[in-house]
Amino acid sequence: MLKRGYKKNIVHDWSALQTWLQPQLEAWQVQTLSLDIFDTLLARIDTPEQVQRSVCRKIAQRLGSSFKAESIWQARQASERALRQQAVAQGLDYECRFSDWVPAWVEQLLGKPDAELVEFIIRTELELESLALYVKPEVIPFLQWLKRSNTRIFAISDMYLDSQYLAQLLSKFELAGYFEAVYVSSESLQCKYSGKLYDLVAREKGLDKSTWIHIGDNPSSDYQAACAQGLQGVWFYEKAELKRIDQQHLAVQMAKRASIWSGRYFFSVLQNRLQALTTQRDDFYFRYGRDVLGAAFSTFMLGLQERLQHKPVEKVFFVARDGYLFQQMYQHLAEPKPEDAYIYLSRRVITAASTAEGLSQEQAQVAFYNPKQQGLRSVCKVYGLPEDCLQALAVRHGFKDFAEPLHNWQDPRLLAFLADEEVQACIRPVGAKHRDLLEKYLEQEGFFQHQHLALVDIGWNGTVQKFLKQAFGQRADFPIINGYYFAFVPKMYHDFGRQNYCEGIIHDSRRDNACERIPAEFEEIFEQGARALEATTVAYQATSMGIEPVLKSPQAPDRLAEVACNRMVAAMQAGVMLHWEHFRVVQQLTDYKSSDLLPYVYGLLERAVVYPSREEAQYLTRLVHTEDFGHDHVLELGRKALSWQDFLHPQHLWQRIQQSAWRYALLDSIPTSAPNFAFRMVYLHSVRK
Amino acid sequence: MKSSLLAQNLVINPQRLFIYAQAFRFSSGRGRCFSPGFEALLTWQALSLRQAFLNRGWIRWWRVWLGKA
Repeated sequence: MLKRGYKKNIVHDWSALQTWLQPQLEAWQVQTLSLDIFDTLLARIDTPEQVQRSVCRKIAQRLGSSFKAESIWQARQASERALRQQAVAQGLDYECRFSDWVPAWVEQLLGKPDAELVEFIIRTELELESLALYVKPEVIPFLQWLKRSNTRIFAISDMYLDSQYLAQLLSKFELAGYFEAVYVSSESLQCKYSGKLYDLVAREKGLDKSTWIHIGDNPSSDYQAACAQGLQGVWFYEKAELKRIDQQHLAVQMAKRASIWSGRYFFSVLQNRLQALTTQRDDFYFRYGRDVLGAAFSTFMLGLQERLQHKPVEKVFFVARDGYLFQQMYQHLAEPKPEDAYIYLSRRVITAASTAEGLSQEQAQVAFYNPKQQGLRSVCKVYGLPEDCLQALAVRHGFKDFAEPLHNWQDPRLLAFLADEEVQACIRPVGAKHRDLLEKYLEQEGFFQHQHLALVDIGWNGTVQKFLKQAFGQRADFPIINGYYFAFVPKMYHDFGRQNYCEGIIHDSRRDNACERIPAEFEEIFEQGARALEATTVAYQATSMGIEPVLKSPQAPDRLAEVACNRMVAAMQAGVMLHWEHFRVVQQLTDYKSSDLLPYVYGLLERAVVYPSREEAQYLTRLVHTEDFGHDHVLELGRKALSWQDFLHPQHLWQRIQQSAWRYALLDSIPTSAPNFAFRMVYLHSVRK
Repeated sequence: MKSSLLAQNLVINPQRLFIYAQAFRFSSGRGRCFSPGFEALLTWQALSLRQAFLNRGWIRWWRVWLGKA
């Protein structure tokens, strides 16, 4: 006989259960063991009701606008209630079978049977259930151990799914092979809570109840009802799991309020999934990609997907280099979707081509946006112009030092230099050559073969899109372009020409929302996180294979610095891709749109950029940033934390803050976030409203 | 350096978000998009407190221990 006692009837984890069972199995006191399935063997990343509501939303999408998800949900509940009451009237338990319930539900919805819809609902429910469920981490080792002990093992569940569907789920999770049989209340309409299902199993399998233990998470049906039937019930009481379920319910309740709450609920489900299905990795950059950049980039990709559905295009071009990661993410999206391609463009090659008709003052000043600009030398580097030829001409207009920074963009010397026909004659043939090669490259890539296409890039000014239109917009086959950017801040240009649309999905400065500006506060980290590992495109060359991009020399100082950071960038991108994989599953379950997630994502980015942890500041500032505007400069994200001496010289302090790529990292040596908060307020006051 | 819990940074305490949003409130006044809202925050706190005091796990445990499950 089994030893009975309250202490022995409550177990807290699988290893404790194994320790408790071992002597009894060895002494042949236990010959049969049955296990509950849901919340015992399998846990959920989301509540059952949310999964069922998701099924209703998908039915509503299929049936069209005359059906609302809420009314489908009400019909589901009504038909379920009717069937359960019918079972009680027949003297059975309050239970129903899914294969009876769905046809009744469909008939209630449509007023007639629809076998196709029934099949769709069953398939969808099973698919979503399998996305929401996971096997608890210690279950497999426990079942393997149990299997070796030659004990008879059964799975018993109070559940509306038919046994065939339950068997499908168990097979999917590779659990089915451990059980001699699976019993589910929906088949006999007899449940564990009434004790009838235990009786049925004992009768059918000829079990001796005195050597049978049943384990489950429900104290009523798995413990008390089992004990009442003469077998040993064991309550599987996982305190942390119950707390997690309670928090899930709270998150669901709050999500009804929208604002940040829907995003918070979404990412808490995603967190549950990551915790259940992935393992911890120590690499900081991987974790940063998974937990911070992953959320921002995945929300961007969701926004992009919505826009491509709303405004269809024939082809999506991902622009080198920062469009690289977005293309990787795009390729994981389900069909149907427009064809995609990666296109080697950079600000350097585009601007070089734009000088075919000469260099205007508006074009020249683009070179001066760089904080390390060197006047006319920068102009030559940005536009790929011959320095030797222009240097001699510059002396004529009063430029003693060709590399003298130009802060006054209306400098009379500059205006005279640009008005000089000899200067323009020197510039035009070089620009024409660049333009010719670029045009051939675009033709080769099929850029002009489509009427309507999308360009996807990280941001910020839309230089590539602007100059493409400027250089080739006169062609009759120039396509309508929809430019989608992670962040769009058109500081340099305002007029992009006709049929040349631009939109920032995460941040668009034209929306004038101070909150969403956050990516612009530390744009280098987003660029680094999204960029390809290869070098930037500096020109094109004609080869026997066609026009090929020429990438920056591996010996260039900035390229050497970049290569040194490639391992970190690759780790961040691996983290982003892991996030994206789980993000898509959670999106399928919740059906949230990017607009539901954005308020929370802004909060998440605010935390990461303005209030970084010391670890974040330390690791991220090891990255270096390069730009593709022709210079070899490296922008170090490195911080030199502020000291008390800095505060004695406010002007110097302000200068340091302004020059810093990530100004909030300067404060990381202070062990509280209060200075970050104060500094954030001061900064928000000082920036243009 | 101690590594953080798995995906810990994905879920931020709403109180922290509320405080972060105050920086916008006291400056440009256009930055309340990620504030959880004062009323919602109070509701969240009340529900969290109720959850802590009326702990389902504890209630279940006592019911089993007392044999009243």
